[in-house]
Amino acid sequence: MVRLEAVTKRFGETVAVDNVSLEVQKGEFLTLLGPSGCGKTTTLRMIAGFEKPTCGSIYINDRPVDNLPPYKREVNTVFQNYALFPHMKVKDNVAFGLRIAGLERSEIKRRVDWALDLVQLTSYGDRYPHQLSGGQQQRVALARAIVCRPRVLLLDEPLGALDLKLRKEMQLELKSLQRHLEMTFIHVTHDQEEALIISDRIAVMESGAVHQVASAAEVYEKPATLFVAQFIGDVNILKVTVADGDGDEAYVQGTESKIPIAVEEHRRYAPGQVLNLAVRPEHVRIGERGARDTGEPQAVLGGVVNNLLYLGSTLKVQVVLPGGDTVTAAFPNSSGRPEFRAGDQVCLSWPVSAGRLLGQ
Amino acid sequence: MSRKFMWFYVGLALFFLYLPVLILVVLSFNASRLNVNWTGFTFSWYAELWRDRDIMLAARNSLLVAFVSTAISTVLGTTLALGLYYRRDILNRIVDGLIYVPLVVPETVMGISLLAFYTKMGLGLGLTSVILAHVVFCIPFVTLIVQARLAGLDYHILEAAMDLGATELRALLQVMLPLTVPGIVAGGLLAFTLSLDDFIVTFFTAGPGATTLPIYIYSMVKLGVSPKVNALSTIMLAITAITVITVVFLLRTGSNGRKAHEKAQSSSVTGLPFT
Repeated sequence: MVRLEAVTKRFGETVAVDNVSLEVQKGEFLTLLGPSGCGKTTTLRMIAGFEKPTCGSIYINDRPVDNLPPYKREVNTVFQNYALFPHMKVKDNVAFGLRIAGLERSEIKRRVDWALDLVQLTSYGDRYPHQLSGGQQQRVALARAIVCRPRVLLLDEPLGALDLKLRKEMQLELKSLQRHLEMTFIHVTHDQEEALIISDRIAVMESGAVHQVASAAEVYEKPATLFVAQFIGDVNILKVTVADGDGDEAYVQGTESKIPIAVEEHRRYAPGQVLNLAVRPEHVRIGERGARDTGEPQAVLGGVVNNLLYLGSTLKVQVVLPGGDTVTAAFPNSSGRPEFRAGDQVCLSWPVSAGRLLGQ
Repeated sequence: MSRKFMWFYVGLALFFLYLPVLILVVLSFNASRLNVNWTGFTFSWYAELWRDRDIMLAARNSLLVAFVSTAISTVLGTTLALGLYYRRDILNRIVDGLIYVPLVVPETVMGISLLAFYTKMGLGLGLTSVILAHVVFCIPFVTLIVQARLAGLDYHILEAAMDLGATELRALLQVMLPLTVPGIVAGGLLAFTLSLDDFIVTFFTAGPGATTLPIYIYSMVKLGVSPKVNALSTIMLAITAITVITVVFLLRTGSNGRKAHEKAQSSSVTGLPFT
């Protein structure tokens, strides 16, 4: 539905978007995720037509749009600060695009009512934007964009200005709205949790480049780069050197000891390479070796408990390895408080398949 | 102690600022022909103004110049401000700096240079030359005020309009212009007062038959300050004061869009029919 081919955008000397290729399927909810300044908003603005790519091409519905101004593109945008027209009532804001399209009055009224009903603002048509709360303004912006029935809806951090509780509600609403309309959504956010919740696929960006495009589960469980692993969720990173494998068993050399890893992970790299071993805290267990043995081979290390963190729904234990690295383990609070204290000598373990080798 | 001193200080400042004006206004109602003693209240000087053909001609000239130069400078100044808002490149930054030059050039210099320019171009001095001169010094003020208004708007509003299918022109007419109106009106009113009581530039660029009120008052004073001058000055003071107060009011509601729209809301109680 939307295709970017080797798109680059420079502002003077700065490269905002660096050789990005991306394909968004029809009816897909794709999120561009990354820290501020990573080029995600610039990418969105190029699709909308507010910025021209320095090089590369953008296709919407298989048609190149590089020379089309924003008003000729079959996309609509929900802006970060809503950008509602302050001098128009809510219904006139929503009707703006339809009037320009030259629809009949009765049709405009029908569609405005439909859109306002969809965002649950039926009785707010005669109000002015400043008379609404932030969340309501956000819905008006949404109604104004979807009422034109665009092929693609672009959302530029639409929930950024809302408070946490409202934001969580709107995330679910956006998701169900997108399913209901069967519309293609391209959404920009820096909130990794939001991206995981609402997206079909996530494109993780950093410094203008796309690191990985994959489903939420894949991005979290099989990060393609060290940046992706660290940006999405918590992760333990250990500096390791790839050791010689001997067929069935593969190892990497940590600062102190050999750590077994999955064979298929090992095969991706040559022995001697210095890499990062990434393990999610929830995969790390603390206790006797094989205490929770499920038959899967475990990586086992010894260490000293340094700190216990209470986070409500989870408990975190920080363990310092003899080499000085710190490994954090996370437990659901329901499993009861762990029976150890700072200074205790403990045994760490994780399933071999949970470890992932990543380059720089 | 310090509070008392502050009130004293403020009083002194106000006294110096406004006493001369107050005296002028009071004396314009003085029955005495001499500008010294109060001998009784009268409107006769105002009535005499009305009968004085020269004064009425000067007033007519002043108003004509003010209206025409306001109209032209408001259109040009607003266009310039919008143009500078839309496109931001090096050229625009230079123009952005240059438009402020007429604000700081001494009026005498501007008057002389305009006079020299007109002579060079073979343009005879008259009302036209005065109007052109007023347009020149009014444009920066209009541009400045409209720019301030535009700066208070969210640039994304313009993008939103274009995103919804509006061409640049349509976005300008239906979204940007309505939101800029308070600034445009305020700029126009300011231009009007500037034109109405300009003396120096007018003095250099006015030819015979193009006498405006400030020039006429100046020539009257040469023969001694008559109560008629006081009456005329009071009227000009009133016009200027009312205009400036309107400008301040507009700019205040203008800078606070919320207030302006609350007003718009309360003024249309019935609400517009859905169109």
